[in-house]
Amino acid sequence: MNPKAERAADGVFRVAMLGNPNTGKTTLFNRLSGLRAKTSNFPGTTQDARVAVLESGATTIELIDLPGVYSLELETSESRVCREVLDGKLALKGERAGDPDAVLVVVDGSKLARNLTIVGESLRRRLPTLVVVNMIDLARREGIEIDAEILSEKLGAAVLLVSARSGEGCDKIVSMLAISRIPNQTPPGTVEGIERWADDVYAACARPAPTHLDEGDHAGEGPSEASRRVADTTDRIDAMLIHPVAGPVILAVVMAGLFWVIFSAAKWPMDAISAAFDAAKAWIEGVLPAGILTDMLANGVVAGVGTTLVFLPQICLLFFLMSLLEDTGYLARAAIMMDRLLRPFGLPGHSFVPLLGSHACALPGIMATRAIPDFRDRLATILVAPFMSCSARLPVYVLLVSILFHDQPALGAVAFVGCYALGIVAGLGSAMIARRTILPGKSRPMILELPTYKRPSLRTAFLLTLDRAGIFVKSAGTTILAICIVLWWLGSYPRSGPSPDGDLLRAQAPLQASAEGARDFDERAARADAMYAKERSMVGMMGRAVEPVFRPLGYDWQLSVGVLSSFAAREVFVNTMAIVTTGNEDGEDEGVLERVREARRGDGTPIFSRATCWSLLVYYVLAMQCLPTLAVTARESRGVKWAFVQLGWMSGVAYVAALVTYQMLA
Amino acid sequence: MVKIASGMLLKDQPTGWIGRVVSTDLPDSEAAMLRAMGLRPGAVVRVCRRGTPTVVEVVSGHQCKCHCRCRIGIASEVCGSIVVDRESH
Repeated sequence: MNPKAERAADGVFRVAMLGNPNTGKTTLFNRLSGLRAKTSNFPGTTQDARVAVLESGATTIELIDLPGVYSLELETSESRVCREVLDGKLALKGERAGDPDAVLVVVDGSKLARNLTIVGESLRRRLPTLVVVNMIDLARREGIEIDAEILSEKLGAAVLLVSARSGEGCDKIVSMLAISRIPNQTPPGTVEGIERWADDVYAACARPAPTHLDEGDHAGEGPSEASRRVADTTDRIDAMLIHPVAGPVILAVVMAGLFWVIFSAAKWPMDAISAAFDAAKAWIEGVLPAGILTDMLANGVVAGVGTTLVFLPQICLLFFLMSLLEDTGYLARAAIMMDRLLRPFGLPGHSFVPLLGSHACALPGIMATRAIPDFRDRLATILVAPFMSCSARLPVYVLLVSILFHDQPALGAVAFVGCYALGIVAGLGSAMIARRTILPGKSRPMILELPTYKRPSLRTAFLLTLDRAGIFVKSAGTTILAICIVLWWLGSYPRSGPSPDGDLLRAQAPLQASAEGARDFDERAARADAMYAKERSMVGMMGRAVEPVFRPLGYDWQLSVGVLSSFAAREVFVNTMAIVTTGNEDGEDEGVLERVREARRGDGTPIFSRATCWSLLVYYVLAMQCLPTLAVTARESRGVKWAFVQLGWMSGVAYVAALVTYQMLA
Repeated sequence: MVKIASGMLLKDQPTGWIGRVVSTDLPDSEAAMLRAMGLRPGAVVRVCRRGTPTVVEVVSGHQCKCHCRCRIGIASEVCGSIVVDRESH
């Protein structure tokens, strides 16, 4: 039995959703699917698609939202995927390839003539087809009248006029899909032929409003005021947003506002998540008997996953706000403006949004590279995105800058800005090197449609955020969870008994005059035990083993332990240093920070000398100390090879830069 | 009657200029992408912004008055390979 017959037997009706970019296809998909959609990928490609299951009577419709393409015949990854899905050669992961049961072609009513080309290409596949003319409200506002009956007759397929934004006409889509038929017209097979056919179809079915360019062409018809107004307003806004001076200033203001919202609004949910995981950890330790399992659950699973999930609010806000910005039409303008700045480094303007997003967290930044059409451009962006200073680096910057510029906040602020600048310079420089070596070739000159300015859809932004958050949580619950358990094991074993210093302090505790004094001695004993345990753990042993490697950078065994233990996540460095130097893991406590600043070795020399601090700062700006990012890189680049390249290159750059820094200042 | 002035490049045209696309001298992939976006031989375009990037508005196809008004941002080096004509009556 062929796949199509199998699906029919199961009552499943597969529909491929096709259309140009910026036709409101995603908005329509979200309106039809609501919260029932999930993201799946096409094996062997870098493309994925949203899939939803809809019910229409006894029929179950599986709706696949294919990537937006301008033509099925382009040599791009998106076009190839669409072509192969329609030709029955490609299916989503876990499904058998086979012809779809129907095609839902979404076109923009305000740009119908151009959109008809892809309709023609689709009709030539001779699959049951429903053509949905979206944004019909916008088309009407611009004075374009479309006769659905004539259009249907010319196409030989059913046609619906809808507005995905307002919902007009959308309630009929599912029922009409189920009864869609093979078109009774076959458009020409050549590019020129299809273009002429599209022009003819448009001329027959649409009565366009005369535009500001038609003066003199249409006797008795003046230019449409609405059309002139829209074009003039768009010209004026574009002139400002893409202006070589005003454009970057506006972009800086928009992005500063965006990040201010992300960092300020995300703070309380991040604190809440952190508190929830702390409570869960305490609950596990209180309820379960002490032992390996309890320790693994509390300190490996809960603490580890919590460290990652704490960034979920920032990630959600970033995707939500970016989606809103994209929907307005602004991000396309920002990308085309940034193209001239990024292209000398081998990156296209499309890379701007992912690189910007990486300043919050590299994970959504790398996930956002899916919008970059060329795979090499995309790969180059993925490789350098983690150079951007993410929020996980902030605790490390705070620690080191506060040691370097204690009581000098102005200089501290300059150092902070310098960290961000160093990351950007290293990222762009690395991209330039990558495009001349492992990813040879220039980035493609940017050709980008600038969509019509419009009010963004909150619903679309919400559903996209939900989807991306789901991917992130899934990653935290699988790959990252496994990594956390391994790192917990390395940092906790072999087990050490109580430390000699701890025993001494505990023995002195009952001799104290007050209960508070006794408690203080107990706490000091616990800190001494923690330091002792960390020193004797496998990570501690590894720290001593790799000390010769880090010695030229100015790091002793304690700092080497800090660097090693933060291999999974940079922010762990602060907590590790707090434990190793003071025995207290609360790296944000001001008293602990003070003790870390003042920490000295046995010979009385400071652990954090000026040269060492600068070296560490440079190292943490540049090093790939984030295993979740490596996991996402491996997934998005479809293989671990590029994750290793990223790790090797960033670690190498960080090492050399930190070495040079230390040797110059020591 | 339309008189064609050949050899003009899109990148040299000022803001507000209106004319027809004659041909493109671009790699196949870029030419095909532009064509699919509506910027094809015979299409009437208006220069909305000159420079880097250039912004053009595809006003109509070859034969019809479609008034699609698709705006496309194009890197200047691509505009240097698009031959256009001025329409004069």
